[in-house]
Amino acid sequence: MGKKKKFIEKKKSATFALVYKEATDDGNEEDGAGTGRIFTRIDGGFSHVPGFSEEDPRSQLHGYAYGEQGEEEEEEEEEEEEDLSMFADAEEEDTEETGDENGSHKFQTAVKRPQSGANSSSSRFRDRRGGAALPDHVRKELVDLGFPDDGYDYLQHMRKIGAAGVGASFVPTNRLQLDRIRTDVKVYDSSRVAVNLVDETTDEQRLIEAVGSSTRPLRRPAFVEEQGLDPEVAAALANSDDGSQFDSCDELEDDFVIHATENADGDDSACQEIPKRQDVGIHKVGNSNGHRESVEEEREGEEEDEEDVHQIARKDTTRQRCIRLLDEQFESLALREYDDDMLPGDFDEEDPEARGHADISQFDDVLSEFLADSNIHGDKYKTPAETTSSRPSKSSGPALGIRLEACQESSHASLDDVSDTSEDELVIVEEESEDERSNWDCETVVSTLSNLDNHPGKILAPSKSNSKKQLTLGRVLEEKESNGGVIRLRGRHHLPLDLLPEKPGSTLIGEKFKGIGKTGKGDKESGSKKPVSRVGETPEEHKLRKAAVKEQRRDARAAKKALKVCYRDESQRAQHGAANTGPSGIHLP
Amino acid sequence: MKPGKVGVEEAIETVHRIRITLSSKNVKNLEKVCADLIKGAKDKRLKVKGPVRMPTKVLHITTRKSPCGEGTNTWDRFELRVHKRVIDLHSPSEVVKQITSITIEPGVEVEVTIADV
Repeated sequence: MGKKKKFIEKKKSATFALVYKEATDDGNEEDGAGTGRIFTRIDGGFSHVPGFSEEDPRSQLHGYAYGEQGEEEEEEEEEEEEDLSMFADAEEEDTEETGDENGSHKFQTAVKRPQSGANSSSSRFRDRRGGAALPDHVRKELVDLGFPDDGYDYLQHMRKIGAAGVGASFVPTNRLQLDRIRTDVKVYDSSRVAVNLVDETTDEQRLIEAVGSSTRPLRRPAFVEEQGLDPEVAAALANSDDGSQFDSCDELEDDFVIHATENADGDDSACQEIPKRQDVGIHKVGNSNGHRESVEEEREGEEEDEEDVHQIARKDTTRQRCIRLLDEQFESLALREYDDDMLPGDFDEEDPEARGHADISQFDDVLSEFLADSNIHGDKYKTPAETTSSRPSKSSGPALGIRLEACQESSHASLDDVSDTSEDELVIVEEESEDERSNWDCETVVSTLSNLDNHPGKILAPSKSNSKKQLTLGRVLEEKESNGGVIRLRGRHHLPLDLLPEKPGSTLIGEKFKGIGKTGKGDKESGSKKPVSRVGETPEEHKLRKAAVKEQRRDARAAKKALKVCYRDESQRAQHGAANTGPSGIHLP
Repeated sequence: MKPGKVGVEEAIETVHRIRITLSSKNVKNLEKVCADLIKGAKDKRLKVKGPVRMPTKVLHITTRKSPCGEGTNTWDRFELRVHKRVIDLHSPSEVVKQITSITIEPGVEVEVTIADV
């Protein structure tokens, strides 16, 4: 039993898949071109299948071999294809063009030629041109643009400039024309270069600077044409490079002072310091010889003012005439009157006019007497305190809040008083000093309180403990009496809380609880020594200990439950009692 | 199989065993394409076998519904079904090309296998 013959043997078959292909721009119409579905080979073989391989872009793209069709067709196609081959630009190889039918093809080694039964004999390899050959003008354009001439139309990726209102304008570039350019040579005028002997001490840099400082580049007129500059632009550049222009008028020159002082030969002081403003002013005033002298004169006198300028100006003018006595007098007057040393009101001892026949020190008290004299000033300089003290009869003097009328009234009174008394009597006003006056502040006031009466203590939270008291029979009776025989029920469960003990197990009612609680607690208290696990206890001891703990816990649970039950019973009983007692005003929850 | 005589006319008309494989996620379109192909082949008086229905391949994807880990663990079960039909013909390849070009349906993948080529 062999295998059943298969319908298709994979190794001898070609498989094509139907795929979508986008419509191309090269104008080739596709079959079924509505959506552009074509068959492409997917099994990787290269045998020709009629009807399928023609459409296959794989076969077209790589120019791979295909099997023979017929001799007649071969010959025709061969001629055509050799002319239109995309490898036409390639270098001619001798081996290719010999009439060898199995002529070597550059890609031959890469091609795997399947041994297909029908086409195995006389299969030929042939160059197959890929797609439509580019027309010559297109190829030329591609080469001009710089693209390689490999048969691919790069122009499809190029955009036309200025088309469809893109907004770009085409400006041809100035391509570098190698044949017209000269070597880039700079010409310098070095006629002014001072050639120095090179010392060992001189730096190279300084030498270069020395050479460069006195040289100027020359512009060649041909330079303009080479670089494509406008002649106007070139002229402007040439002008700006000229160094001499820069020195002439644009630069500010601040050395006018130096020029000014250069005229004053032999004048040492003018050259040293920064000249003062007066110099400038003087410089502007006159340029005569007298000006020089005035400068000297000014230097001698230390204090100089604006006024001196005028003075000296006057001097300057008077110099030209012969000096008269009147002039000298005038000058002395001017100096005396406008001398800065003399301040107004400054009474010199040397000044004869200001002197009296008495010594000035005798009159020290004059001012104070003058101010204190009430006849002259009235009440103007008196404080209210003074007025009140001068009239002790009127005790109620105006306080800090002064009323005008009282003031005036008192002033009149004081005047009368003063006029009676001697004028020499001065009203002495004494002020209480701060220390003597009794200043009451908080601390002082507080300190007047005695600690014996107001014993300070800490503020504590009110304790609530004193309400409950020890419950004894006597106490019960006492409370009964105090409440008028009424036992008050308080709390949620309406128990006679007054009669209940604070601690369980200390009073009558508590006995009941006590009994219950005791049993549980008794064990605990007696067995307060809880069984503690010791190191190295035997398993039996461990068991015993655990059992003992269990017992304790069981008892504790029982005691707790008993307590709860008891409490509940009590509250129930209280409720019953309350229900029975009478007025339904007692509301039980 | 007819032996192919080497001649211009018969070279074109060499009958091959051709297997057309159609696969799709959509059964309806697939059946329609199949029917069209068979109809077209029969119109050209070709020997047709098919359509042979291959078992449907189902791709299961089971994912948690929740984007986080919280909540009840509910799962989504997605599946992708691929249906496959095979049609066998005995015809020259050009004819087959014509036939397959006519029937156009989106989502159907067509593969043509030509034997002895």
